[in-house]
Amino acid sequence: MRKLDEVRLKVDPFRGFHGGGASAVFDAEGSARAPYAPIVDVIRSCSPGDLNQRQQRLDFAVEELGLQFSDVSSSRSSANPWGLDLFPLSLSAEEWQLISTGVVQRALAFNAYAQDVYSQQNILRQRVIPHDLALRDPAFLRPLSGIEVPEGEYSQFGAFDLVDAGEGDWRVVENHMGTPFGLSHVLQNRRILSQVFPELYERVDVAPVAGFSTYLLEMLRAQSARANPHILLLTSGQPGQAYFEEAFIARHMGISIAQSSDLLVRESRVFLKTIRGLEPVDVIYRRVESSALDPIAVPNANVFGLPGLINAWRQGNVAIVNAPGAGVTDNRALLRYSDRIIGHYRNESPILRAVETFHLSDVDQREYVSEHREDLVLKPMQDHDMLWQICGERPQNSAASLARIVRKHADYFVAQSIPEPAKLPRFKEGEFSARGGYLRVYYILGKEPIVLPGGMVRQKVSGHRTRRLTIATDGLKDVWVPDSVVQDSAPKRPPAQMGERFSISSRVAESLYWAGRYLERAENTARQFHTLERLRWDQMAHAEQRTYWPLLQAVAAATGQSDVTKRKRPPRDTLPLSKSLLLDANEGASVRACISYARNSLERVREVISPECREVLEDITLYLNAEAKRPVSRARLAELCAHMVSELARFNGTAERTMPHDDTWQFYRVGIFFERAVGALAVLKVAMPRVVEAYHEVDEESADLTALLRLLGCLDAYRREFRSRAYVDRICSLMLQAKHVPSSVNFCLRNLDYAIGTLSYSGARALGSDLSDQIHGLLQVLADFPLAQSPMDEVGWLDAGELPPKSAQHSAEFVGEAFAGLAEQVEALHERLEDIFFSHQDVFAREPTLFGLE
Amino acid sequence: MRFRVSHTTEYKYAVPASESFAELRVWPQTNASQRILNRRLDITPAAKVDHYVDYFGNHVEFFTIPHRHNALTVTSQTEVETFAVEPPTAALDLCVGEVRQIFNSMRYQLFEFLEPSYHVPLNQHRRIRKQFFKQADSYGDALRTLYTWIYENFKYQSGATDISTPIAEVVRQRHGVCQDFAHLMLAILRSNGIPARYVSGYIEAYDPETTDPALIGAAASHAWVEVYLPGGTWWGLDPTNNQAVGERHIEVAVGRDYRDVAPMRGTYKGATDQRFNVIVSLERTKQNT
Repeated sequence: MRKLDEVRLKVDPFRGFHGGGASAVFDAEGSARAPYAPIVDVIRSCSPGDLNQRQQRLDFAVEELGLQFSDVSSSRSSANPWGLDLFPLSLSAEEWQLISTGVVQRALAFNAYAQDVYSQQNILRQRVIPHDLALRDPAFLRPLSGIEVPEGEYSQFGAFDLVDAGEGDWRVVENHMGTPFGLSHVLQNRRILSQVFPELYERVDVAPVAGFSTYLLEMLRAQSARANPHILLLTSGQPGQAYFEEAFIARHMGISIAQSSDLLVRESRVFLKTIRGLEPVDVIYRRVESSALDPIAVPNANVFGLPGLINAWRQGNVAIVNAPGAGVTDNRALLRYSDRIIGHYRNESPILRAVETFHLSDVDQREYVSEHREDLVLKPMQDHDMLWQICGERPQNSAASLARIVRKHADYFVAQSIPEPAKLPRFKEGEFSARGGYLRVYYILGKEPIVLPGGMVRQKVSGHRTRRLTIATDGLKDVWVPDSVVQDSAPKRPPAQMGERFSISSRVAESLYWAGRYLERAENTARQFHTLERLRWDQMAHAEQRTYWPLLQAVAAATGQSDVTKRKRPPRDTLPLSKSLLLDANEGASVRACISYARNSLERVREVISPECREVLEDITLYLNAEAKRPVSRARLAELCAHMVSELARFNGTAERTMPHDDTWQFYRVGIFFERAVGALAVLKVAMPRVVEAYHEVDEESADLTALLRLLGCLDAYRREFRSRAYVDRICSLMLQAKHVPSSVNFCLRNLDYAIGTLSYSGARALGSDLSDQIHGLLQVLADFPLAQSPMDEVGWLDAGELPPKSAQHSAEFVGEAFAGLAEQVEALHERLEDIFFSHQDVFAREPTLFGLE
Repeated sequence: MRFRVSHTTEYKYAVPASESFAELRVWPQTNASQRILNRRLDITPAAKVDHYVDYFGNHVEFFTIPHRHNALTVTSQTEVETFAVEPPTAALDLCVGEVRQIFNSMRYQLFEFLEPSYHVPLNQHRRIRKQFFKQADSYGDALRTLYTWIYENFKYQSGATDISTPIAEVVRQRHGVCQDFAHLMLAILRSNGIPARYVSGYIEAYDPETTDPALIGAAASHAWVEVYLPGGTWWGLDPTNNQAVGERHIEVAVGRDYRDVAPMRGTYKGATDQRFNVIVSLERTKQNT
């Protein structure tokens, strides 16, 4: 074996890559070109096993991150479209100079184009380019015309896709000036590769990329004259890769994410709805297509948007980046005329040329395209929803389906002759092979335009993907720019002192509140079933089963299964009932459904959730999905309940440790305590009347009261408190009045009050004090509850021949009504919470069946 | 002639609405055939109104009402003076072949009015569109033939269609209202290479002097079409009433189709249960000489 390894070491890992010929990495003599020499040296010094191991670690790290944007996690690996190759693209100083000056030139020219098209249209009047290309562009939104955009900078943050046609002849394949995508990948690729393969970076001064998000933030801040402008990232909120990136960028910049429903326009000013009322918004970083911003300005039946946003922008009361309408710069039909556009607006000759592009509205070009179909890539003029609306359909995943749409709507399509990209080594299955790719480079404009020194390479895939905000790829590469070419530029604005903090939006608060409630609900149900299963139901005598039936009914009722409460006798086999209450995804309040609601609530506010928490929740989801497919048995369900209880404890522990204990956190806690109180009352409401009915003081040890205590999670607390057997009134006191027992309603309400008290709402909206009064009123109701009249602090004696329990005096009916009334009063708190903190919100998680406790 | 027009839009909500936002296009044009003598806009509950001029030159007013309200009323009252303007006969005497050539050389300026738009798909109903605009026809005659053909072949039937009814359905059923006829006429015009736009406005339905009840479109917003004439004028044609637009038409907004000129477009939060009502009244006022 040893001998074999030694032989292998002498074999060049690049043998499969260059085959002796010249390439971007090696010259004709086979020596590595300067920018690649250090990389090649490091890689040649590694054994094949080492390289394999590094790639595996890269894959693993990427997969872990991929979790963050994978959709519903049926299986982890298939959901992750992101790969990272261990061989980076390395640019020489000269190459980077050329690219970055070319990028700035192009960005400025196309910005001037956008400004022109939305105002005088001189380029069309003077017939520099065919007018129909500009006027037929689905991204050209006439209602956005005639609005003054500061400095004429429509696209302040954008990107270009470039291809190396050979020997550093970089050509532009596409503009991404509307909503550039992928910044998060640039940052993550660098972080991961430098962690997994630090040796690569040891001998070279690579320009850092970590500052990209700071530049972006500074640019956004510069949009407003205010010292501490309120900046928001506006998202469509659709889960997926785009949202992952938005959450990532927002977290890096420390700004909040909003959906249009979180915002409100009032007298042409934009406000965020927060837990403290309406807060004015100064700058919006837009990640939503222009046509979906404002349904009144741009009528579009398919979107909601924010009515009045465009008028607020028109009046200069809010800055939007990139400016609405900026998407016209991405029109692929313009690529053919790039040189003319640069000449027209900059009076310069182009530094970076575009690849040859044909537009099919022109008869001659269409003819050329049909004759050279094999060598060209068909693309829509824009990856814009409006375009597919015009065509009336989206292409399916086949070239034939696209070709059919193109025949019908030729005006909206282009064809590109993309040169074969210069090949780079790509590591796969133990060796390097040759693979081309496209380089994406980002710029930020402003007084001193910046081209971000780095970027990403997307390895070539066949065909064009029409989903704009995805990085569908066959692997990414890190991009190196020598640090020496990057001039230190002073920040565009000196960092401002920390000003007032901005409130969290009502939607964020509400999502956390519901997540808290659903997770608590899931935990309760799992724990209660675990208790019941430990009673070994199946081994009980029939009479005994009947004694315990009320407890199972109570749990079922708390889970929203009202049918079960009407049954006098237990079913012969309770297994199907248990299974449905635990695992049925369609059973509104099963453990599995609750986890899924909680997960959905949290997915929508991913930016405020720590990755660690998300990981735990992901584990739980996968676990439940897998369990639901397995055959059930009593033992398995018991094990599942135990596992869920510990997993949910892990989630709460993780949350406690990894999430900032700010307002967001407090709403999570409010949800938990509220749900716990409601859940306890739901069990008591069903169980107590039946217990009272069956209650005989003469019983030696009232077994079913012990079980009830266990079910409520407070058997030990009871014993510590009373040192007696279980009595109805004492259970009631404990559950309603105990100050330090986490299961007691008193405990929950006081913690809820505390959590709300930390929110420091004040001023005109001191609504919270009213809420606090309401909670204090409820605490008094608990203290006066008729069934629980033995004051806790007087119980200081050992249990011996005390007075008969007062509960014996009450009828089952009375008990039932008393608890039902109490439950109703506590549940009414929800309405108040909603009115004060969340109103106007359209909440996914509000599931009427779940909380319809009857 | 002078008219006083009052245009009221009322919404009543079953459950209180909030966050109402609306854009209005109810401000009549000022041009060679009409001028505004005075105008006021009232909104209940009261709201601050802002204003801008859109891509097609229309005056747009907008407002928000964030607080809860049970009803919303918008009333635009305008006094307008209209003038009879004859179209340039030289343009109408040209033959269709000639005007087509002229339009071809102006494709950039006329682009929007030759392209399909949301309510005006082109290149349907080949048989219908081929009947019109033969190369040798005089432009004026060809235009008159078209609006008369629509008038004679389509029945005005109030409530038979709404704004979502596609042209194809109107053609199949052979009935509709003014906006259907306007959209249909636009489709035939544009498919034939004639630049044309949609006009929203009002019409005096009954002549108070002759009491001629024949003019349809009473007490409601009206819609018609304008075609481009070589030389740079837009000529209004009303297929619903089989005539060229005259002193009794009041022009409010122009665009590619209804979507660009909707008198009121808005949103609110609340239950979808709403009742809405539009009342337009128009009366001739005395000429102060």
